Formats: sequence, C-alpha cells, structure tokens
Amino acid sequence: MHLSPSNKVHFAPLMHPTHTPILLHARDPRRGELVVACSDAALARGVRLNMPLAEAAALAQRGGACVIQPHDPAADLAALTRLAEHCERFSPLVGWQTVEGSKAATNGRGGQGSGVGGREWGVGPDCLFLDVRGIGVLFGGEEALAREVVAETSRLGYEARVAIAETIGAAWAGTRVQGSGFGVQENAEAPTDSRLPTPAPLPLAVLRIPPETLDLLSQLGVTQLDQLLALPRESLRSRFGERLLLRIDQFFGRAQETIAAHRPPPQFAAEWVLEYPAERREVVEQILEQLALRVARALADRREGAVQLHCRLDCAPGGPLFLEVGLFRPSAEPGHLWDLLRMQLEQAALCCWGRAALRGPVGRVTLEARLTAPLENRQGELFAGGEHEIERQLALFIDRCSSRLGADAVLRPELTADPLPERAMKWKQGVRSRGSGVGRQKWKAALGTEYSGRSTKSRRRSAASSDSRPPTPDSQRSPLHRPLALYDPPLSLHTLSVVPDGPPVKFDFGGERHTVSRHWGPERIETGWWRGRSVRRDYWRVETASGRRFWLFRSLQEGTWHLHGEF
Amino acid sequence: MNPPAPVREAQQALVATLRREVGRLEGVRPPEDDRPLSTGVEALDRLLPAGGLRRGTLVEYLSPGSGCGAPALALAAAREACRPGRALVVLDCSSRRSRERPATESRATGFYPPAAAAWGIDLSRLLILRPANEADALWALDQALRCPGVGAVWAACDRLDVRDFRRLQLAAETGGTLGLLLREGRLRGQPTWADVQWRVSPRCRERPLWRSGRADSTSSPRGSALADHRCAAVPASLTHPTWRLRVELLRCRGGAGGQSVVLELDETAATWREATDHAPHSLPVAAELADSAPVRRA
Repeated sequence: MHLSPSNKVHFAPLMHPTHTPILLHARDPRRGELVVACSDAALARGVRLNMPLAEAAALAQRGGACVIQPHDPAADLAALTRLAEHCERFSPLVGWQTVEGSKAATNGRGGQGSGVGGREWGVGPDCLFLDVRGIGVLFGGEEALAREVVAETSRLGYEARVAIAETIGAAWAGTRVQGSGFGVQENAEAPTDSRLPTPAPLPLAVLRIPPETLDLLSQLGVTQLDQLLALPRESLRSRFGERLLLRIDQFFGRAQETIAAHRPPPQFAAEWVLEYPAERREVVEQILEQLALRVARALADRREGAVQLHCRLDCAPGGPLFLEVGLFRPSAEPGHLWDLLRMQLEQAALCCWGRAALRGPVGRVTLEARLTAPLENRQGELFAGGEHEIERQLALFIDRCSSRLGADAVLRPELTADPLPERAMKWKQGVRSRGSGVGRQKWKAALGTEYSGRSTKSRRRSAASSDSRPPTPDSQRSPLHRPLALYDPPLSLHTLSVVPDGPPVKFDFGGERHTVSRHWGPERIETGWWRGRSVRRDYWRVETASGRRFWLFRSLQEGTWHLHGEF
Repeated sequence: MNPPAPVREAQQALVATLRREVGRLEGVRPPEDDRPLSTGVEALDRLLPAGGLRRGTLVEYLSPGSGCGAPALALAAAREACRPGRALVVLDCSSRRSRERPATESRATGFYPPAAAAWGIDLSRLLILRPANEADALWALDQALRCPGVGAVWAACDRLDVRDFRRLQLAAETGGTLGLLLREGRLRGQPTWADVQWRVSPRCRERPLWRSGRADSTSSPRGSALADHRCAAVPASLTHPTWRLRVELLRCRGGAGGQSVVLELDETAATWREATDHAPHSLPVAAELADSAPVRRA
C-alpha cells in the first residue's frame, strides 16, 4: 500500500485555508530561486514547478494573497515521520524508504515491501509505504482500509492518494495513475501472486525512474510501459543501466524489495570502555566474553540470532583492530559466539600480537551483531543424535572453520552448465562475509552467498548465453567423463606424437616418461569469442602403460599439449 | 571336514569376543553404531573381517602416484558413509598458497566437484575446505572428524606425524566419522593409526595401439618393452576396455592383511566390481623371462 500526500505544501504549516495558493521555493545553483512545490490553488493560477520564483510569485499574487515560503526538507521529513507514526495504526511496518533484496529475510518479513531509497529525483520523499499484508481483514476489506487511511490523513489535513498492490512498485504506480482521491488498483488488489499487474498501457512515469531516463526514453518515442517491455532486456541494460531493469522487475514482483521501517530496528550492540587501557590479552578476552554474553542475551530476548558479528578493539596508538565473524545459521548462544570471536582474536594475535604485545593497549571494545535473522524455533529432542542435532553440529563446524580458515576457504560447489571445465562450477561461501554486501545478494537460510572468481562481465555474459540451459549435464555422464583432480592452470607437457591430430604417444610428467597405451577422444571444447580469450581444445582421456589415467588436451590455437587432470 | 554347526557357532562367538577383547586392550573404543559401513565395493567388503568399515575409524588408501584411481575408490566409501544425510568434507590441501590469493585462483591440483557428482556424491552435502597452511589443515581435519554432522572426510595428506595421526584417530572416534586418507605408496610400512590400509595400483593389460613390430620396442627403454611384450602375451579375450585396479588389503585391525582383489569399473553405474575373468596367475613369471629374448637379440 502506498500513500501519497498530493503535494508537499501540506507538509508546511496548515494554518492557511486551502484556497490560498502556497509556494515553496529552493535555491538552484544555476537558475536561482525556483518553485519546488505548490498547491492546487497555485497551479490554478498558472504556477508551475521549476518556475523562477519571481515569475511564480507574480502569477500567484495576481488573484489575491498567497503564501511563499522557502522549502525546508528537514521540516518535511519531520512531518512525514509524524504522519508515519499516525499510520502505524494501520500497519506494523511503515516507512518511506525501501531496501532491495536481502533485508526481508533478516527482518523476518517477506514480500510486500518497500520503496524508494531516498528519492533520487525531486525534493525528498513524498510517499509512505505500508505493509498491509493480511491486515485488510481487520478493517473489513482492503478497500475499507484504504478509505480509512484517506479519512485519517484528511483529518490530519493531508490529501492522500492510496493504492494497494502486490508489489511496492505497482502500488507506487497506482498512486500516480489515479486521477484523484483514492482508489484500490483493481488489477492488483487481491493478495495473490496471480494478480500481479499486467503491462497495461500505463505511462512510463509509473516506474520510479529518474526524469533524465524518462526524457531520454520519450525522445526515443517510448512513452508507454508496454513499449518499453517490448524492447530487448540486454540492450536496455547497456543503454539505460541496471536501475531501469530493477524498477521493471520490482514493478512485476520479480525483484525483491522491502519497506525500510521508519523506526530503526533495535541494535544488538554492546560496548565496554576501560578506564585504564588494558594491555594483557587475557583481560581483552574476558571483556569480549562478557560482551558476547550481553549481545547474545539481547538477541535471545527478541528471538533473533546473529548472522554477522563485528567487533572493534580501539588500541590507543595503533588504530582500531576489527574482527568479523560470519555465521552459517543464526545463533544466539553466548558460548558459540564467544568461541568464534576467540578464534578470530587468535588469528589477529598471530598477526599483530606476537610482535608487540598488541598494537597498543585496548581502551574500548565494541561488539555488534550487524546482521541478524530470526532464530528457528525447535522443540527439544528426547533422544540425542536426531536430524536437527546433526544439522546444528554441522552449522557449528562450518562457523568454526570459516572463522579460522577464512570465509573463502570453506566453500560449497554449485554446478553450472558451462562446458569449459574450469567454469563448470561456481563456489559459494559457507557463511556470509563482508565481501558479499547486504543489499546485493539474496540471503537464503540454508545456503551462503554466491562466490565466483569470474569478472562480473563474463558472468553476465555467460548467464545470458548458457544459464538458460538446464544445468548438470555432467552428472548424467560416465564417472570417467571428468577427472577428480584438476590442474588449474593446466600444466604444459612435453609430448611425442605420431598422428597429426591424434593423441600423444609419450609424454613427460612428474619426472617420468609415460607411454600412452589407450586413449579416448577427442572431445572438443570451444568457447565463444565473447567470453574473453577464446578457448579451443581437443581433450583426450589417456591410459598409460602403467595403467594410470590422465586427462590431456591440445590447444588448437597454439598446438601445445597440456595436462589438465588426473582420474 | 567342517565341524558341526553348533561347534562352529561357538567358535565364531569366541573369536568375536576375543577380537573385542584385543580391541579393548589396544585402546579402541567400540562405537555405539557398530553396523559395518560398506566400502562402496562389494568385493572389498568381503576382504574385511567385519564385512565393511566401521564408523569412527580412519582408512588409508596408498597409491603409487596420481591418476591411479585411489581418489575414486575412497569417494565410493565416502558416498556410503554419507548416506543418511550427513555431509562430506573434502580437504583440498593441494592449494597451499598464500592467503592473499582468492580461493578461486590457480592451484596445483584441486578437487573437481563435477566429477564427484558423476560418482554419485550429493553436491549439496559437500563442503570443501582449503586451508592455507599445514597447521590449519591438521586443525580443519581434526575438527571435521570431530563433528557428528559429518559423515566422511576425504583428505590427501602425506605428511602426518604419528602423534597427529593418533589425534585424528581419536577425533574420528569422538565424532563417529569415517576418515579417508589418500597417501603416497612409499608410506607403506610406516606406523599408522588407520584401522584399514589399502594399497591401490592400476593394472595394465592392454596392447599399446601404435606399437607394432620390434623396431619401436627396441628404441624404447627396457622396462616398457617388457611391459609391451608382457601385455601382448595376454590373450585378446582377456583385454577389457574398462579401467582395472588392483587393491590390496595391507593392514586391517582384527583381521589378516595381504589379500588382494582386482576391480573393474562399471562406467554406466559408476560402481566397481570384481573382475570376473581375472585369473590369479595370468602373468606368469616365465613369460617375463621369455620376453627379454627379443630385446637381447636386437
């Protein structure tokens, strides 16, 4: 649901009758004072947005008194906050900003979510987003709810347009296309996924895109949403950037978006300031243990578990020392959190403690759970060793390993449909780490974040070219199709061949000369030129006279032989 | 000649009691779940006195070099040990590079998951650890073996102190996991804490494709000429296109070692089975003596 005060003037003091024209002006660095907002009465007298103030004032004052005030964004925001507080009687989640992607899971709220991350155009936020999933019933239907919202806001002196839709984007669009008053957007009112908006002939302004993009598109003759959707996605991306595609996806509910609550969520942090800076490691450990206990208690009170922990040790001369812990699954066990922190502390100690007893005496220790997720409620099991216990133990193991070995040393493979052997899988980290930002990646409860060594460019290309095919063709094939150990990069070989395009007869490897007794192949693997350096290889599986099996290839460009794997 | 059934049963019970007793003296704590765990190969199970491996123990696979099939054989055992939804942890020690490089950059040899998937490993339950140094590797191996959520640990580790070895064995006992260690063949005869020690070596019984005639064999080193002629001596009916490995049970707690079996790969089912046409003395010593004649003549 989306509530949009019809114009910003209402954020200004409400002491004037509505028929008095009201203008708000702000200073533009190039054009001087401009009108940034005006009331309907002012519009009726010919005032337009972005008009020089002198001209607008002359127009507005023609028919009588008018109010001209400088625009005060802080007061606007304060008024919007007050309005948001009023709207909390309709929804538990009210805000004017949205978050793309992942926070949904961490806040424990799915779905219908959020909004414009501080409007990138115009003069500040001018709408409120309310999460009304499942709330319409309490007010006797969503339409009744919408009426009530309008009644409430008009009681407060605002004129609001309300739209209820499945996605934030669609709700926002709903308030833009409605003529006046309120309306429940009929194509999106039902709370089911099947009623997502259809690409009706809507103006492009319903997407939350910057006016420059809008201008550019209209110069190209694209003014309607369905015209835009008819264009190929890839070219839209390259011409107008990721933002446009994101907005389209958010409109149709293909991209996740959440409302950022206007009240900041509770912070799970604890701090310890030492009167006399501590130099001994035992003291610091003691303090950290206490802090872990405090944070864990605060988390447990709200049934939340930490997914990412940040710790900051302020060492007086040496600058702060940061510790970071990522967890495989949310946890609020003080013992486990402390265990992970201790391991990080030991690693840090190996780096800097050993040389000079710490970088310096520690004056302040801060511990914060930056990312949290709801704890899973589990009934205790009568008998030990159940399935949940096994899962829990495994999660603890992954946490411990990631903490000591580093997050990129604990990996889970995921197959892709790429024919190039080196790229036939992607690595995912076991736990979340700093490298994978909160907003960028989806956090799935079970799996960690995607980790890929490839550049984003090539990944995008391959996503376009090959990921549409069903993955894992290799698992259908013979186990000898691919070797269990892969050389990365492939080793160059000295070979002796007889047949020009055939396999080698002999090759040197590991200080021995191997004679090929049997061979299978060739299997030609080529990659397209658009994937960076093109690769053309003929692969052979060979068995040597001693019965060992290797995977060789000949590079068709250079004609050189390489060892790529062992069975 | 067999004794009557009741006597035989009594004898078997006595042997089982004695075995347990000896195990206790050796400091082996019997795991709670002492159902045998298949090695993934029926022929190998038959060689083991318990009819399989036991949870909470270490198993060594010694092989003379890379490309010998030991990793695949160990993976078959791992597949069985991870059956009831437990995780398989692979310790990729070969990537001992400095920490600065990202994990996806070039390494010497790395474990290749797509092949593991073809061997029937569930990739969603597979975890790969890449420790940066030896101390971390040992720590990770210990932690993995200690974790009850892990079914099997697959690791290639050649350098292992006896004390560390014992530590790993105790860790496996604590966690009830199966530790599969791939090690070099030259470590045979060294002190070990593994319950079972296999020696895996490939078998060649094929005539090389391009070698025809004597001229080529004379130019080749003596060893391969011998191999060449020896292979040629095997009748064509015995040549088989699949991969064959000779697996020898070097050592086994509570049983006798020294037996061996020749396995061949069923490629479609991704399983190993005993080579049926394998005769124990198909490569007689006499044939080798006869072989050297052409070389001498040349």
